[in-house]
Amino acid sequence: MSFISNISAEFIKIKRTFVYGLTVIATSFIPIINFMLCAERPKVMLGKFSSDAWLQFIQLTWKNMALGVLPMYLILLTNLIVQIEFRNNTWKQVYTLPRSYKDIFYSKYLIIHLLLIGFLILFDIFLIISAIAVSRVDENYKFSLSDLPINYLAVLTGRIYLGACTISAIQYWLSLKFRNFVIPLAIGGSLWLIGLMLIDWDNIIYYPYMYPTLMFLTDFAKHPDRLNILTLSACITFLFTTGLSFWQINSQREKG
Amino acid sequence: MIIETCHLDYSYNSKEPILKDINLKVPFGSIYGFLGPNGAGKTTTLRLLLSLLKSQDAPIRLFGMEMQGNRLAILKRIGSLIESPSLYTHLNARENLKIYQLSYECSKKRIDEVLNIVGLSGAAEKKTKAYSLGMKQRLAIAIALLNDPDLLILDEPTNGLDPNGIIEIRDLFKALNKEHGKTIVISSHLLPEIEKIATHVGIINQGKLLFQGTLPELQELKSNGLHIGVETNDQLRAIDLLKTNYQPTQTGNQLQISYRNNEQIAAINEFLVTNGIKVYRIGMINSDLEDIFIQIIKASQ
Repeated sequence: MSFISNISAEFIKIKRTFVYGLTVIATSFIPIINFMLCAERPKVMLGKFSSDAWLQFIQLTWKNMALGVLPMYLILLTNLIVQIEFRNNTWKQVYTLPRSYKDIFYSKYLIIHLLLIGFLILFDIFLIISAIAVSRVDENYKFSLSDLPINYLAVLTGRIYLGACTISAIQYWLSLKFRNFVIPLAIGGSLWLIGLMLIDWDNIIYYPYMYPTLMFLTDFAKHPDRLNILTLSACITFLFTTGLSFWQINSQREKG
Repeated sequence: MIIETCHLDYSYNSKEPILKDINLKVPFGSIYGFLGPNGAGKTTTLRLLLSLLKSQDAPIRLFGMEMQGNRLAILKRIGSLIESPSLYTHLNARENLKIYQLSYECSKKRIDEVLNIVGLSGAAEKKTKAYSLGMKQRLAIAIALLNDPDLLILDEPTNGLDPNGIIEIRDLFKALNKEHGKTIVISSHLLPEIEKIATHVGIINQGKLLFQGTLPELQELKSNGLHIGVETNDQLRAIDLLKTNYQPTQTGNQLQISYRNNEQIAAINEFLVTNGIKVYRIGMINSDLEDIFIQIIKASQ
C-alpha cells in the first residue's frame, strides 16, 4: 500500500513538467513525418509497400525510432525525472520521510519504466494511425486494421523495450550519481553516438547503448543465436546495473 | 530523553572532525534551542539525527530507540525542516503537501489543517515558484507538521520571515509544545530568538557542545558576564576611583564595568557623581552569542 501511495506521489511530481510533452512529441514526430512523406510522394513510397505493406511500413517507421529517437528520449526522460529532486533540493526531505531506501529507489525507477512502456505503446498507436490515415488520403496505399500484423508489432516492441531497459538502468545510475544534469546527458549522448559509429563492429552485440537498435536491425530469422546473446546480455546488464545503482545509493554516507 | 547522542563524532573526511564528542540530551516535551554561529556544526548534528548522514559508530537514540535498525519507526514520528525549504516549485502548495500526505499516509484533511495553521490557505493553489521566501518557509513548516509528529526538528525555521511572521511562528511552536505536548528542536544562530521560546538550550561552537541545560541555567551564566558602558568627563580619574571594587577597563571612549544587578548600576553612578565626576552616558552592553562563548570558555577553564 505504501509503495503504491509513493508511486502516486511520484506521478504528482512530474505534473507540469516537460515529461508528458516530450513523450507526445517524441512518439508522434516520426509517424507524422512518414505520413507526410507517403502522402506527398506516393510515386516513391508506393513501390516500397508493394509486398507486405504493413511490415514495410512498421520497419520504415521503427527504424528511425530505434536508431535515434528512443535512446535520446530515454536519456532525457531519466535525467528529467531525477533532476526534479536535485533542482528543487528535495532529496533531503525525501530521505527524512518514513520510506525505505528500496522504496525511494524503485518508485522513481518504476515511473521511468511505466513512462517508457507508455511511450512505446503510444508510438505503436501513432504508427497505426499514420498508416490508416495515409490509406484514407490515398487509396493506393493498402493499410487496413484487419491486416495489421499485431503479433509481429508486439514482439518487436517487446524486444526493443528489453534492449531499452539497459540504457534506462545505466542512465538512472548516472542521473542519481551526478547532481549536475549536464554530466549524465553528456555521457549518455556520447555513449549512444559512439555506438552508432561502431555499429559494424563485430562485438557491438555487447555494447548496451545499441541494444534497442540491434533488437530492431538484427535479422533473427538468419541469426537466431544473436537473439539469445542479445536477450541474455540485456537482462544481465539491466539487473547488474540496477543492483549496483541501488547498492551505491544504499551505502552512501551522505543522503540528500 | 527523546533525543540522546553518546560521544558523537563526525567528519566529512578523515582530516578535520566537524563534530567532537557531542552528548546531546533533549528531554520529552521541551523546546530545545540549538545555538551556534554559522558553521558550528548545528546542521550536521541535525542531519545525523535524521539519518541523512551515517553516524560513525556512536549511537543516536530517538524515542528510546537506536536509529540504526529503527529508521522508519523513528522517522514516522518526526517532522523536519533542514536548511532551505524543500519544495517542488513547479507545483502549488496543495500539490506539494499531497506528495508528502501520500508518503506519510496521513488523512487528506491534514492538508487543509496545516495550510490553515501556517496561514497559507489563501495561497494554496498558487505555484510555489511565485512564493516569497517567507511563504516558502511557512509551507516547509506545514510539511513538517503534516504527519502530526511527536518531535519537530527545525533548522533555522524563521529564516526569511518578517517580524510579524516570526512572532506568529514562535506562538505556533509555543502552542504546539504546550497544548499538544510536541517536543521541538530549533537551531538558530540568534540568542535572543532562542531566549524567547526555548525551555532548554544547547550551545555548540567549532563542533563542540559548550553548554547544555535549562534556559534559567543559561541566564544565570549570562548574568555573570553582564557589563555596563560608562562615559564621563574624566575617564582616567573614574578608573582610578572604581578600580578597587569594580575592575573597570577602557574600551574605546567608554569604561566597561561588570555588574550583577541594577542596584550596582545606581551605586556606581552615585559614587562617580559624589566624587565630582560628570556622567555623560551609562548603559548596558548587550551580551551576544560571542560573549556567552567567552563566558562559557572562561567558566570551563
